[in-house]
Amino acid sequence: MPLLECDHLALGYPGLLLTADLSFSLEGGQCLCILGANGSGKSTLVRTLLHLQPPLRGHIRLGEGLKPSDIGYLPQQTNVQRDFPATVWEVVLSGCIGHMGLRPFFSRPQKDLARRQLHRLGLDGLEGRSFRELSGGQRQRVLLARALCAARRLLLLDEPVAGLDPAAQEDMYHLTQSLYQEDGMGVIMVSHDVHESVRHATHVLHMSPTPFWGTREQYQTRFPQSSTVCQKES
Amino acid sequence: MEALRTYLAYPFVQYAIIAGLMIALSSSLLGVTLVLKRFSLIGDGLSHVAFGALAVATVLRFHAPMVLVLPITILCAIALLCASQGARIRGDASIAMLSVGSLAIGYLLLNLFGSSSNLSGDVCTTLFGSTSILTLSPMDVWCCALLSLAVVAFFILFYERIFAITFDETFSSAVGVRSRQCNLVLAMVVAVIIVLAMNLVGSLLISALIVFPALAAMRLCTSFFGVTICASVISIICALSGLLTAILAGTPVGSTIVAADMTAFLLCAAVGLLIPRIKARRTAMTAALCMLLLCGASCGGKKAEVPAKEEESQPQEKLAADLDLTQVNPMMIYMQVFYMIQKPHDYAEMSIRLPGTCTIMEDTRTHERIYYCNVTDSTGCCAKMIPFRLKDASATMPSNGSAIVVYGHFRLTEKDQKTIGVLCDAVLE
Repeated sequence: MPLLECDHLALGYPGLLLTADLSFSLEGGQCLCILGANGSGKSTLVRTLLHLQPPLRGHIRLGEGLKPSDIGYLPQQTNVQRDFPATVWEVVLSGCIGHMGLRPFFSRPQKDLARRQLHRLGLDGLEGRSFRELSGGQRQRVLLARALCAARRLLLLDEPVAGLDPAAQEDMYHLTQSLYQEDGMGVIMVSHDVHESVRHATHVLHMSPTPFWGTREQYQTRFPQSSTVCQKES
Repeated sequence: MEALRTYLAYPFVQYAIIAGLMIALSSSLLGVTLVLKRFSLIGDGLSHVAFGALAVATVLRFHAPMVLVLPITILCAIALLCASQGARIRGDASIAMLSVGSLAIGYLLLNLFGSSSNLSGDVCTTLFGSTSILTLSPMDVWCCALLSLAVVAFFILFYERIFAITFDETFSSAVGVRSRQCNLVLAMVVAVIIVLAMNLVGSLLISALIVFPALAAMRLCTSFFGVTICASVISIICALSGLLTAILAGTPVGSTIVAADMTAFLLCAAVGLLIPRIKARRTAMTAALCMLLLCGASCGGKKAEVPAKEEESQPQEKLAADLDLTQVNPMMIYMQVFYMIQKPHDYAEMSIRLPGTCTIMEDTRTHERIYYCNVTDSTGCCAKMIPFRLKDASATMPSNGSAIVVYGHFRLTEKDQKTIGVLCDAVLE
């Protein structure tokens, strides 16, 4: 059974239909790239996958006993966070908030988990640093570490490279790649950056009135314009 | 210091300090979250709502206005904090609308249906708090302490969740924190703090208690935990030094506390600018806080010396008084007179020396002239009067409005089924 399976989803708000019929699935070790123009329903899909908003029609099924709160979510950075007084440790640890149940404070295993994720993303030694003093790339790593604290097998990255310089973008893509290739996680990546993100994905979901879902190779034969750039680069 | 000790002996001063510190602590804790969530103005808006609600309670002659004020403020807080997403009128506009609207309606209602003889005094007291923190009853203090403790307990128990939803609400709801419910409880707690703080600084100045400590702490600390601790320490120090200064120097309590908060903010901002390195900043922070404490203490100390000097310059022999109000500052005089009227039994048969202005009124039925010693509070918006009867009936009476010092014995009489105190066998000095 796949990690995530969406069945004839219709998305939108009462009175506004964004997508009528969306079906796709994702397994461990795959990376699905979600593309689409502004207003095509990308962020609505994200909210629906996180169960923050019900679909108009259709079903979302999570496999392997996953709960909606087990999806590791990397949101876009907000304005509030740019000058928020918080240390890297506080931010990463807050990823465990979903496992806290009724306890008021974090337990030792949760702190150990946070420490492991910090190490995994190469953030050792930065625990005490202030989040607002970090570079854009470092901040994104910290938020990814927080998402990994919450995630069991599934990651949802919303515009992970937006606003990063090219080196930091490349770095972020490599991190993502290691997560699904080496750790066998399922990764969903929402992106504006068609060429680069498709190059790092295994599957593509193109949101439009006639949505496309398939492997990267299928996408590149179907939409050759976008793939020519990729081929030249590679 | 001597003066401070005398003042601290009064139970109402002790009550004021206990309640003031509790209120300062709880408002600064929540302030950090409100400032970071870009909700700083909520405090201001809600305090005006509380003023409007208080006006309604006064017009309806509620004995315990809190019963009405607290629910109304809580409702408005929920409306403002929770409906801000997807509402037709957005954030700041809805706050502006609500705050100005309730201020206007409140004043209008008081003006049209108010039964008080001193309308502007009442309004001024609610808006600027003037002396209301000094007029708390033990019951009020218990209420204040319990509610503040509840707020602090809420903050500690929900600390991790508050941090998570303040830092990133979408993420927290995605991983299963019930952000909506959290926001709802937060709104209610904010409303409770606003209503409490109205006693301390008055409804126009509440925002200062919420905003300044948090902003000052944010100049110095880099972690959320550090900011929280630092803000509460700054707030408590400022409230304490502000209260003591106000009591010693006779300045209005609310504005003095806010001035102390502003000083703290400026100090912290300067330290934050001058010392960019974090480790050095921690030592500087401690130094700054110590300085602040000293400032408050020395400020109070200086002012306290003033009445002592006056005493030396008047070597005339005087009749011994149980309560000599020429030795204290105007605010204390007002407070004592306030309690003479509230609780005349506590002052029965005391000899009292009272400075003030002479006010002459005529009894509408008996056409008898009654002489009063009139005392105003430090903000000048409220006045209280104590009647006096001269021992020597043939003595020349003072004219209306002249400054007098009355020495007499406080005796209780019944008037219109109320016990009032009159300074009998009085002598003008």
